[in-house]
Amino acid sequence: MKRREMLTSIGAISAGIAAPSLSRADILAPAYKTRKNMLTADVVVIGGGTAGTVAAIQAGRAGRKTILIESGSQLGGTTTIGGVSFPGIFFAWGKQVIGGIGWELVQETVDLNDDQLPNFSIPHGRQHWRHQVRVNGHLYAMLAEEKCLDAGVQIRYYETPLSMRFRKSNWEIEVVGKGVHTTIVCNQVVDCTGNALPTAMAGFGVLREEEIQPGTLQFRIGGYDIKTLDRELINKSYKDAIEKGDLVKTEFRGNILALLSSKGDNIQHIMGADSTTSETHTLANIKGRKSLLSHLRFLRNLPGCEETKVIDMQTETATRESFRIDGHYQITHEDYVTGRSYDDAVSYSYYPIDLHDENGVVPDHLEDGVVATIPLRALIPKKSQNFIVAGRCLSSDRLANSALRVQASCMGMGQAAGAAAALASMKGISPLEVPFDELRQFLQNHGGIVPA
Amino acid sequence: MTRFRPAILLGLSLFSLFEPAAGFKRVVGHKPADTIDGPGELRYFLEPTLQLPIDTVVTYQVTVEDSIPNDTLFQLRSAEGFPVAYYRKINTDVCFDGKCRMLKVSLYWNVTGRFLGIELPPGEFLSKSDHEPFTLSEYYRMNRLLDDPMSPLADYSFKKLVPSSGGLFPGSEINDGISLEVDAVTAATSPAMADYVVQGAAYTTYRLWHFVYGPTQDMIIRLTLESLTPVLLKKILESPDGGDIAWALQHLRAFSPLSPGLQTAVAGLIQNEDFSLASTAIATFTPTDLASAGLQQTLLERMPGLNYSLKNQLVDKLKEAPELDERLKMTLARNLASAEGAFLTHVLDLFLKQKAVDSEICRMLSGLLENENDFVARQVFAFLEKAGSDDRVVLERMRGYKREH
Repeated sequence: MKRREMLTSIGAISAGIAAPSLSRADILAPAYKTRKNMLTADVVVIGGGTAGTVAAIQAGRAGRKTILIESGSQLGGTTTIGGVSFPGIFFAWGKQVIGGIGWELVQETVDLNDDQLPNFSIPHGRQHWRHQVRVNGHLYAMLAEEKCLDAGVQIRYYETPLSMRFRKSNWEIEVVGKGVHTTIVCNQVVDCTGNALPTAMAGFGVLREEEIQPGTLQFRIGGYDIKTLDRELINKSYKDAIEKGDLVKTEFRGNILALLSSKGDNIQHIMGADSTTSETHTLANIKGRKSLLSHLRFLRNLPGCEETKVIDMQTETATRESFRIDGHYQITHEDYVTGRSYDDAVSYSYYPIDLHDENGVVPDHLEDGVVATIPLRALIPKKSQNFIVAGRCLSSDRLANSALRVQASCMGMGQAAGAAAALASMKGISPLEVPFDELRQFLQNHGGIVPA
Repeated sequence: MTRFRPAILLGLSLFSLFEPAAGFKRVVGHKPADTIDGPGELRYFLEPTLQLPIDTVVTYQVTVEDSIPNDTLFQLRSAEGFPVAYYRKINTDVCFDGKCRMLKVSLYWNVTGRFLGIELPPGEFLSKSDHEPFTLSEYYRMNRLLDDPMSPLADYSFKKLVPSSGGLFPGSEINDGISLEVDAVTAATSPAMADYVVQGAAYTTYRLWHFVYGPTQDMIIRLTLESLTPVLLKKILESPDGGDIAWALQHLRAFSPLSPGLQTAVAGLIQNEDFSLASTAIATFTPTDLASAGLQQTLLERMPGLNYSLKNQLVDKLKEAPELDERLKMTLARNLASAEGAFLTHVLDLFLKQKAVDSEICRMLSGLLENENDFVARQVFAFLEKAGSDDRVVLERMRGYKREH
């Protein structure tokens, strides 16, 4: 732009600011009336997290008209929004146990970011994190979205269900979003919210412990050199701050040096964090951020930490536990650690028992050769029709759930649930009625790994 | 996974191979009991890569700085000149509770630098608390622990390992600042590390592990690389140890284009149960290798029954071929009739990349526009649009698809 043109345009802008009336380009919008929509689909997946994204892609690739409802602004859930961008373990005892769409997403994210997969040939021993695959969460979210669209899935961000009714062999789901109120009529529902809220709305039983595992706000801090710090002084100051009530001991397990040496990541514990409703999730987010802020201020008063900074922070506190469905089968801790097999096993799960509490977590590793499996019945609420869940809210006891909840397992379940829902919608039946051999073959054709 | 074999059988067999070089007496074995209670030679070995008789021994002066007092590295060569194994004699003071004794042990490495085993000369034994000799199971355990290149011992200082410990090895830079009052005797091993050390001999484990994975290993790998040939690589690819095979695959590129023998050997690994190994094998082929129609056919034959993601990786690899073999192209196109999901899209991408969009292919694929799975039909329609076919039948089917959707 030439100088004269630029000065002219600045003049025009100034004039616009000064003018009391609207410029010609502006249009005064009429009062907004919430738009009401009516949509139909074969399969509706609620929740676009680790399980839901995979379930929707699977249903779409099966050729079913699929809608994916996500209350946030992007896909991937814990992997992306939660910032836990190491989605668990896909290999056990030298073999791949979770494959299919979840693995496809992980592998493509790794490739596109020029990252390296761990060497799965080397056993991880008691350090299961050796087989964790770190992914770029932002890239994962974009690829997940692209794959959904490629599979013909209609994504609806910023929407959440208000009610669920089963009428004339179809579900009628009332959904609200920003300025939009939609009724979706569909044949099958896949609840991948992780909290089983749609299950509860539909009137099926859900379970919950009095105490739930803490959540974590993922962040990174920096601006200090851990090697130069006076550890003794820091420990003492930290203890004093806890005693005075300035800091909450459980938030960093009474170990401020662990926070400093890890520089954040998966280290904070927010007791009672629950993402089931917007109210409980708001509280969890506020607590997570408040905790980080108070610790940041504390650290900046310590010698050597005066320039501590927050480098990065996720937008949500990720949560580990809330409601689980009351399913046709409940996977118990004993089932999990013994690798119990089922005739209707649809996917594997491989992770130590990983129950976080106020003292942290001590993973309880599976014995050599053990891999847990997930029966289809654990994904289906009792008394339900045309309804299936995938992810953390599957039917399981608390200890089994602490391992089953991990993302790789949720991806495997997501694909199985998406496949079962797709086949059920083709046949006009419930997922539990799908002939199991057919489901197995279908999953294998799409890369899923089904227990023998 | 490397499997540890009973020392008696394998140890004897290896000893006979190594005897001229090692200069020790023949192994007399040991009691099948759990305790070794007398002096004798002990060897605990993992499976070697090359099971060849030793012909010559070459010595190298170790120029890298490490804490092993003896500066000679012995290379054991076969008659063909292959470096079958390497060893170093470790003679160093170990102090327990303020009393010192010599630790005499030879550490062996494989041709690939992998830990191979330990050998104790007559009268020597590894000991733990109060100089109590290792039991047989502890020797086994030590070997397993030393066979773990990913051990957290790599990242731990000895102070972390044994929190209240002091120094043990006079003159060792690793233990600067550590007093002489402790080894495994008076200090409790950190609970987090108990899985990575022989109970009661934490420091010995720590020390030996750092010898094994220290600068000597780098030197060994350099020496092997100097004598690496396609014949030796092929032999390493036949190793029962996955780590050896992975090592060979990593170094294959230096010999590209691969000889037909090496191509076959690598293609054979694609169906290996070990995912990482199979994936690395696929990645190994270069465009020059893939110019071979024979190799393309071999890869095609490997596809049925292959892990799904490896199958897709193999299809993607074929994008690097200068040209697709006609038979491979037609076979893939025919198989698309039953393909679903990601495999379908990978093959369609391959055809576009390789400009395999002639009338015959397009006509064959246009039949899928009527597939009952909308996803399949949509993917094929998008492919045909990009392919720009002017075939009459194809165009008619595309118009039909558009009318329906």
